[in-house]
Amino acid sequence: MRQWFKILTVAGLVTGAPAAALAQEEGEQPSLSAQDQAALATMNAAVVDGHVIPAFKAQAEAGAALATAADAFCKAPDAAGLDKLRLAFGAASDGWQKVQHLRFGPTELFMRSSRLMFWPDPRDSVGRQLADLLAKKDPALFAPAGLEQQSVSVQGLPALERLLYGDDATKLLAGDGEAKLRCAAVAGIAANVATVAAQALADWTGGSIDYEKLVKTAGPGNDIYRSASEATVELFKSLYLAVEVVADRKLSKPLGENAGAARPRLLEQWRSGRALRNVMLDLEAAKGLWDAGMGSAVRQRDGALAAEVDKALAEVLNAAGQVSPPLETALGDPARRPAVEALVAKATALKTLIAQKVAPALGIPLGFNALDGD
Amino acid sequence: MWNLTRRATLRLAAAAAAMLPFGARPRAEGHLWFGTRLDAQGGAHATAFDAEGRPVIDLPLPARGHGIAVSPDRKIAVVMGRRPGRFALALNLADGSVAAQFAPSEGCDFCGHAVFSADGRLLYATETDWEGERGLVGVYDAAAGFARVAAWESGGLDPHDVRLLPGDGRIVVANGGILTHPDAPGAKLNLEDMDSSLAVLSLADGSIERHFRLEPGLFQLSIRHLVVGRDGTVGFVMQYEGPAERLVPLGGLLRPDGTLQLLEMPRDGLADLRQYCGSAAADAAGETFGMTSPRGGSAAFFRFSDGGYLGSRGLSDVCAIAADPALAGGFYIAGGHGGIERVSPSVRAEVLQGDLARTALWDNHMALA
Repeated sequence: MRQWFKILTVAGLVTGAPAAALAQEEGEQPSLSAQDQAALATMNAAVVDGHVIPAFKAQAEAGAALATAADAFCKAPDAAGLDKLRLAFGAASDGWQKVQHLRFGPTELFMRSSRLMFWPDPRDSVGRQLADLLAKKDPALFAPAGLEQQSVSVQGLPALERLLYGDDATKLLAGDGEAKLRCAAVAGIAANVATVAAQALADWTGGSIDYEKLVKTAGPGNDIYRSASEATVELFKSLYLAVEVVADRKLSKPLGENAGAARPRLLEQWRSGRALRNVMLDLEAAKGLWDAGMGSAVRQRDGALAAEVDKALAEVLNAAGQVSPPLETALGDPARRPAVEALVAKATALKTLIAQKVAPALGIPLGFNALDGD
Repeated sequence: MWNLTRRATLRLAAAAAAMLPFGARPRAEGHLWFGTRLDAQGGAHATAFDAEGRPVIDLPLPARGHGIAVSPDRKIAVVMGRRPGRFALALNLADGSVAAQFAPSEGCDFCGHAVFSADGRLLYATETDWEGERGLVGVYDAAAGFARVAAWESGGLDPHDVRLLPGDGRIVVANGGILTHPDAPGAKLNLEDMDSSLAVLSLADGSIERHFRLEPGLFQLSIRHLVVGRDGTVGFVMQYEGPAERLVPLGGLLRPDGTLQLLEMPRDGLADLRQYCGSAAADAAGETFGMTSPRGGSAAFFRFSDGGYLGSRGLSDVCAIAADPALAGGFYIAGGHGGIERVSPSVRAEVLQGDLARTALWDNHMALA
């Protein structure tokens, strides 16, 4: 944390002319009135209180429960214990999914997002790194001090998923040295997930970083957010990302060009069969953020637009509900595939609506250039 | 993906003639500004407008377009597909008809930018060779329907913008240095050890004559867009992939003698760029240039001669920028939330009117033709 603050305070890497020396020619940019900024500040606080903090609390609780379940399993590994542990893994995975769109501040400090969920992984870094680490046959490498020295790809949920659901998952129950080693890996990674999730929550809710306060005190004198609208930008990007992952990242490549070309192993968490649930959680997170305050802020400025977004959110959630699980086989099933394609189309339409219309309604400059630039 | 067929070419050509949704008129004498845009359904178009912002060419694209290369005789504009680009479309500027369509070679994708040789016979396009995990400059023969006649290594991953240096003997390539993968849309896979660089290539044989990197402390700056001044000074424009809280320079100059200089500007102006510049253009005289940040809705202007900061102008989601020959030190800028403006560092000279100027939503780049 000290390192992070150092970055904050020595941000003046660019020496150059002091701001006063050269007049900024920004006068004609439609700037927001004090009243607009106040409305955004109110919205920011409502979204942080009603959406962000509860999601990080839930993630931290699920992470702690996962660590507890892993320890319990490793004391007496059996099939029933493994089932329980898998449930705890699912809950922790859900916890991540509910914050994965909030990729600013605490989520991005210390590479937390990559350490919790290294995905996508087209070069199979998780598989290779985990295999290398297991081959060293040293349980200490998975203890906290050992694990944090390793690649981020083996520190989080994807590595845990391999251990719990991969082809070798039964080795956890063999009662031999390999089982002990794998248990140490499971327990160590679960403990790391718990720690990282707890740290993210701690940085949101107090301590030396206190990101909640940083967002709520946006304005002159705040190094990170010079105005409420700058903090709104983060929340807006989060709304966009929650939809964009569904529109562009999580489904399009697994779908392929046609049913015969589907590639279900490009789905997120295909081993544990969570891909469809994850997409649903992402869209619910978008709706959660919108309903927690952004929607009403837009409604005050443009009621018709807010209604349009409400409708699009309902439609995309409905489209996700129309996909018959499991998604892993729906992609290549001519009967079930159209529902997946319809979901992508609805998500794309909502993404476009958010980029083109919602940002201007909030008075922030982000459009498709800013959100999907190159 | 999108296959190049003669039938498709003809269909597009017919569409070009038919589709002028903004009430176009024939091309006026003088310049065109050629960009790409998205409609409300997210569909992409290649669109050129005249000095008053009236549409002259408007053509549907198979996917989002990106950079536009204009031939030296201003007869052809090549619209490159957005990264990972699967198409390039060469248009006749006289009538908007399709001169050629071409696709990247097997195993490669376009990276979004290209530039013509000084004689207009060759087109140099940045590409990624996925299997080889390397950046390329593909060389295309305009007279042969843009057949690829050579491919050179660009000197790094993720080559993006490419520009001709004065004298036609060399090009400069911005290697963004970010590793991506076709199976992982939107993912940047090497932010912890990315390696961006500027490479100067000989056009005689593609050899890398000079290769420049920023100091190690700035390794997470991705050099992506380029402009070239009258004296051959290269302006390079960057995006930062490091911690959100860190304020770093987003532009620099590479002098003909090989000296590198990072651009200084007031802290607030720099903070307004929000760690990201997405496009750049030199003015008509090659004395100044502008770089745009859609994230900040801000365009910042600099002198080539000493890197001096000249001022900033705001426009929501602004990225597209091209020179305005009618305004000293002036530019056309266009925004992703709509709007075309003629600006210079000191004035907002004109907000263009008309349907296109008011309603079209402009994508990353625009070229003066």
